[in-house]
Amino acid sequence: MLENFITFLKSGIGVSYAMWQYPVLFLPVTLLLYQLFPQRFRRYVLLAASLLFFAFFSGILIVFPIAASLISYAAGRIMENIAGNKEIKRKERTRRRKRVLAAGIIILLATLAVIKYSDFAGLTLVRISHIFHGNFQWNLLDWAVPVGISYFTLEAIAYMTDVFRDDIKAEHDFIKLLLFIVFFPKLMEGPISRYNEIADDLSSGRATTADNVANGYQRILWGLFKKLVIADHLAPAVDILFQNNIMDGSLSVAAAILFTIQEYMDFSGTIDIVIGSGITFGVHLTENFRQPFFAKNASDFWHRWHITLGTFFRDYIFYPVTLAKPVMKFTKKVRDKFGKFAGTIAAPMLALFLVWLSNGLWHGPRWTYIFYGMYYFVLIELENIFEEPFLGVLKKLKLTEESITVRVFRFIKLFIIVIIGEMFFRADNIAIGVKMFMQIFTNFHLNVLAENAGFLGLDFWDYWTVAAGMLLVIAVSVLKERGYPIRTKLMAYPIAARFAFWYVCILAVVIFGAYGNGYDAAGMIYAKF
Amino acid sequence: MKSYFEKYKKTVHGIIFVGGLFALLIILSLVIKPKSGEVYDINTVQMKCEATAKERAESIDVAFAGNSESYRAFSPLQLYAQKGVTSYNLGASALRVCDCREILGNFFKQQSPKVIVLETDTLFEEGSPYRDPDAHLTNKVEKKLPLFHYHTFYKRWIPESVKEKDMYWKDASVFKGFLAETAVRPYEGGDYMSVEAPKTKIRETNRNVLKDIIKLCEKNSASLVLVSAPSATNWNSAKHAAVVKWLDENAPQVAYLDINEKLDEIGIDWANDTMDGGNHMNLYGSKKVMDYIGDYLTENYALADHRNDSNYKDWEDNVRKAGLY
Amino acid sequence: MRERILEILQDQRPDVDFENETELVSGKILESFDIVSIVSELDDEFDIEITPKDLKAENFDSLEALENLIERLSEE
Repeated sequence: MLENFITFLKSGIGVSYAMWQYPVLFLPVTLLLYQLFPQRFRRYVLLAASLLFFAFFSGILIVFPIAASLISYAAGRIMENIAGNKEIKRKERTRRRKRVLAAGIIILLATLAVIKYSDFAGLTLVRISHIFHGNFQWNLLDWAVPVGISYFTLEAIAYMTDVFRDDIKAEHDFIKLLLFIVFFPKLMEGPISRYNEIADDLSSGRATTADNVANGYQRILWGLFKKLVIADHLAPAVDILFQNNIMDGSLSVAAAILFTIQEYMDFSGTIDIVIGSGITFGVHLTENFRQPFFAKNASDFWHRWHITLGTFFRDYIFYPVTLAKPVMKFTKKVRDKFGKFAGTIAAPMLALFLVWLSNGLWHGPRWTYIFYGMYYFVLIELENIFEEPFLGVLKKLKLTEESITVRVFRFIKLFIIVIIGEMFFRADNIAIGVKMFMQIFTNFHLNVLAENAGFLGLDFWDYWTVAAGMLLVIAVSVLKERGYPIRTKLMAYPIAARFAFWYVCILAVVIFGAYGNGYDAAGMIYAKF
Repeated sequence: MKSYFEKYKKTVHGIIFVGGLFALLIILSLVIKPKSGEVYDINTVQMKCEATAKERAESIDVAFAGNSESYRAFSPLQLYAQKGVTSYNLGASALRVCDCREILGNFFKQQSPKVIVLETDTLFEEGSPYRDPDAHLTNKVEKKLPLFHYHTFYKRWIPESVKEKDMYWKDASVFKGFLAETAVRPYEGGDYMSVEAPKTKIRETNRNVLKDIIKLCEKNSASLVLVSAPSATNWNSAKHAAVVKWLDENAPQVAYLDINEKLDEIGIDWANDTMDGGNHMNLYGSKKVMDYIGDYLTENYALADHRNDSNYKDWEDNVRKAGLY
Repeated sequence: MRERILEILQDQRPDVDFENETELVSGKILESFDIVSIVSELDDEFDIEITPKDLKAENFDSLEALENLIERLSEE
């Protein structure tokens, strides 16, 4: 047993949130230790668990989040010292603090860029040199990327900027800041958190309650349901559909739709597990998804999908850029010359471009991600331009925004926009994405999809399981969108009924989850022949 | 004091909940656990067992076992058409050798075949009943709580219309487990047997299962023959050597036939005889393979020729129905 | 001053009842595009400089909060 445990520790593979060891072993043990330790040591339990969790995946690279914490800590303290130095004039103090902030941000971003994007930059230079008949060589560095670096880098930047803006006070307690950066539930997939939202609760060492644990685990169960019962069933089908020999538009559409569903269930399901984990400790991580498919347009979609990424870009790129003096001057000129409408479109354009470029690039070092960002940039600008004329048309047709026709129209439009975007996001490269897209118009045959339905790694039961799972998720989403208090209503039932209900839910995940034998994705692709 | 009790009441509820959950998992595990030995793909195993159960008891004289290499290369109808010998193909896609053992054991309960032909590709794939043999902790849990191992048990409850289309069910009573494919996708590589391949050996789990299969055959008075069907992408000289070495040291009484070394002799044409670029034989390749195997089996084993036996008229009918031989 | 602020707000979003709303930002009524336009006009009208650190719910949630913000910035 011990030998296995050590192999387990040493393997460096780690346990991700949806593997059974996480909710059954890692989390409960951490919770137990947390409760047993006296209050002032509880934060160290969380810290140790987090560092261990990180080390499972990236081992020695743990120096990176620790370094990011040190840099943020130092920047915060230095800015505070400068601010407290009344001998310097106010403007000079601001200027110096700005320089410290800039230095901190540049160091962190440069680290991220070099570790994650060097090969991408190198290979791009190779391509460019080939276009000019040059001969630039690039040897792949293939560096190991510390898990979560894209997330904690943003959180550290947010911390330093918030200190600069006097939104929060510089943290004097290094452990508190370190714990914020490495807290294990949000380490791998976010949500991208703000210091003042969770740092106090995290370090308080306040004992957790049975209610917290119950509520947290209910949320975790919901996430496991979405991921294991829906997303993981679709994974092999999506893999098969995105292989290069896409032959028909109907398969492109299927690929786009199935991947979108898989991605939503996987990501939002994992976030449910993450937020549930936080709740078990009494820590309230920010929501990252809010029924995204109920959005009225692409902009709104991004206020509901990966919310914390959107708010980060809004607060740390969009507002600073649009409110910068040169940009404001330009906006005013445009508004004076071309009218208010032009002003509304032109003003945020540069900021929007930077936001979407960053969004695309943040997802990873691939041209398909940059394309994804630019895709939304263009669409959102177009939506802004056509917003008023659209409302004018509605008025003429005597329709309101609440009428069924409008809502259906908006849903279909949004759905198409989202699935096409996701199709490009997932495609191996832009050329393939374009090919898949064009085939929808030039080569669409529904019977091809029907013929291939049996070869997507999904059998009779799998299709029905996914369908039933989706119906359930849709039903819950409708209730949540309407503000229906699901959990309160559940808690009103007698305890025996509640126990039975949760047993059924757990069994649903155990029985219908796409794990274990027969769900070896790579094996499935090979197997059918 | 009252709030103190309240606080612990919820924790006690929690403990009862978890206890009840364990009890539920244990009970369901006991209900779900199949009576057979441990298998990897319980639903395929059961499908094959059900299909073979439809055959008349004591009517099959040869059984072909293995994975897809087996069911693409060995045609029982051809063997009957040419030699009058009745046989059945127990192969299934990516079938692990532990599952082969299970299907074979079940087969022996209703049939008394004289020869078992085991295709060797499955010996070099993962053979344990667990998805990841290195996930020791997970596997231990699955052993104690088989509900997690066999949680797809419900998949065998499918409507007839769906079952009719299942590849192991559809034409099984006619083709006896063989799957005919006429598509051609040539193999364009070179001589894969003369190329040097890194030394390999049969992994421990598979060796143990193979020992069980050998014992099973002995117990049921059947001769075991290992055969390697032609596969340009899967087979090589190192695997051949590994099989030869193991048999020499552990079971010299088991015959081994590597058809990959007889390609010229039987006239395998890689431009025409494979359905997927050299991985599996297609119908044309299987004909050449079974020509050879049929001769081999009748020359080395006393196998009855049932062609003029009125009890085996249904085999005549099937051969005619298939229209291939 | 209140009147001038109200005019700017109504101009940007005629559909919102600014006199009574108290959760313009927390309730996600004003979008980031609205805020940018409003800030631009307010900066112009009152000769102030609203910076990103001022863009908090407590400053923008209601007409009153905005009045306070502008007064404070005018004094600096």
